[in-house]
Amino acid sequence: MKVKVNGVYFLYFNEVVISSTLDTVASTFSILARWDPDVPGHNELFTPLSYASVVFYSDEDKLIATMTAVRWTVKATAEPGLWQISGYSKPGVLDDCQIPYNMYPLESNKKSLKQITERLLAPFGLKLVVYAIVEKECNQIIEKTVAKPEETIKNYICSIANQKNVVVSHDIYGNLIMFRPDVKSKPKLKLTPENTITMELDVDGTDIHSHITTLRQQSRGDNPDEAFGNININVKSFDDFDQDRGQTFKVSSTDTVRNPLVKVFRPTVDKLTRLSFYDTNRAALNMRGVELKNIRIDFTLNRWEPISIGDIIEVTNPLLNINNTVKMVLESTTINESGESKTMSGALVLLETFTGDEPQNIFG
Amino acid sequence: MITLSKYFSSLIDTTGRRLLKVLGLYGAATADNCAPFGDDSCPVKGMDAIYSTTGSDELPIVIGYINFNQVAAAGEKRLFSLKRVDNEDGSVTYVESFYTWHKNDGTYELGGNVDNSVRYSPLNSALVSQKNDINNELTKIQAALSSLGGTYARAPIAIDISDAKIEEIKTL
Repeated sequence: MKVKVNGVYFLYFNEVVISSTLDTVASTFSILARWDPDVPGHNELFTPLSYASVVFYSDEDKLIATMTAVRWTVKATAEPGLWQISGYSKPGVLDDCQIPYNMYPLESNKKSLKQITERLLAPFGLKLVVYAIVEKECNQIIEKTVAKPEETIKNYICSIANQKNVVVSHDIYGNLIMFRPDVKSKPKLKLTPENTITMELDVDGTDIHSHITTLRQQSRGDNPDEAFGNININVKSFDDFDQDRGQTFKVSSTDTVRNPLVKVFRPTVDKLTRLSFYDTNRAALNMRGVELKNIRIDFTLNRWEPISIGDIIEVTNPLLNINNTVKMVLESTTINESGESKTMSGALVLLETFTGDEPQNIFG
Repeated sequence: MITLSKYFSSLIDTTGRRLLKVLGLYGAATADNCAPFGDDSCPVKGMDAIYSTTGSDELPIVIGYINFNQVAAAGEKRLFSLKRVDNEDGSVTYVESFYTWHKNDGTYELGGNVDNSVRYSPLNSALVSQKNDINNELTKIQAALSSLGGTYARAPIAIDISDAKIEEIKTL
């Protein structure tokens, strides 16, 4: 691997780890190196708070990631120690900063997700790339959105994008991207016990529910008579309302979706506060998708494969009770290079995590 | 969260609701006007409005205003209208245009306290009584003229102010 710091090759380092996750605005890196002030480029990288630009290339000069250094750690010992310098992709700053005050108001009227995002990226010199698969959603005009002053720029953008089933991530050039994994695309790799060092199934049932309900307060435009649903509005006393306990009134908008993978009763309810136009059913489907991230397969390879987050990967492993070949989405990767070896690890999740479709059983 | 804001302008949407534009802590914002039942009022530009979020981030409301012209005493209720006047020197004044005042002494002022309102029934009785008195006098005049050999065709005076009675508005 080759590393450039502020445009100058940085030649001497011990170990590099780069981790990427599908629905985060930044990959992270960590590099171990010894500081030598006489070597060009060292002062730029080893000066805390320099926020130096760190670009990673493969041995074949192929761009891997465009990062910014944000953390410096070293211990002062008798023997000069190694510095650990870590950082994240250029859009990572969006997860550290709130909307600057000179860009207020926080309210946006009749703007698209693309317009809102591009405006917020401009002061940071970041660019937005919208993939064709979500172009329609990103260009839809949103009647009104309001950011919270204390929330990060990333959280604000993601909260709108998530509700439109758009994934916000980043590319190797340091751009923010909006896309959705193309689950119909051709698999990039097939993982089997034979071509992996390890494959680990990790299913956390505590955060997976059978009935997922979302609700939000009524829109002020709702028909007043519809709000009462089937209840008898000609009540003579407040006690009469007891007869209607347990009913779902239309005073709020609610939707419930099932997760057919969960055969026992495990309900959850979430309140929506964002986007008054937002469809509660869509939100419930997205919530189910998020919960499906708790079904994952972690793998380790003794090589780097030309795969990246969002790719479709085929898996078969009878030891994990996956006897048939199933397609999964590559949710995260970590590549590691040290003097001795190159390794790659990753995590796979169900396709339905990002489509909102009803999840299919992969076991058996 | 509830914050103070400055009222800027408003419009009425197709459903008859008043939509406000205010300048607040987080810049310009639009909010629905919230008022007691049946209250239809529009503030003047520059008033301090109480801006509040609700369960939907996109549906904030203005729940009230910090009013000028507060003169009512304990137990009293006063309603008033204001007119904003932009003076030539750039200053702004708010002129009270009209008021109604439920006072704690049992009186009610309608725009002022110089003159008095009139009750219909006593007025009607007084006018009928006066009419009767005049007619009586005319009868006497007619009799006097006849005794002197003259003639006077008396035409009784009638009065009817019932059309002036506002049935829809009652008072004590």
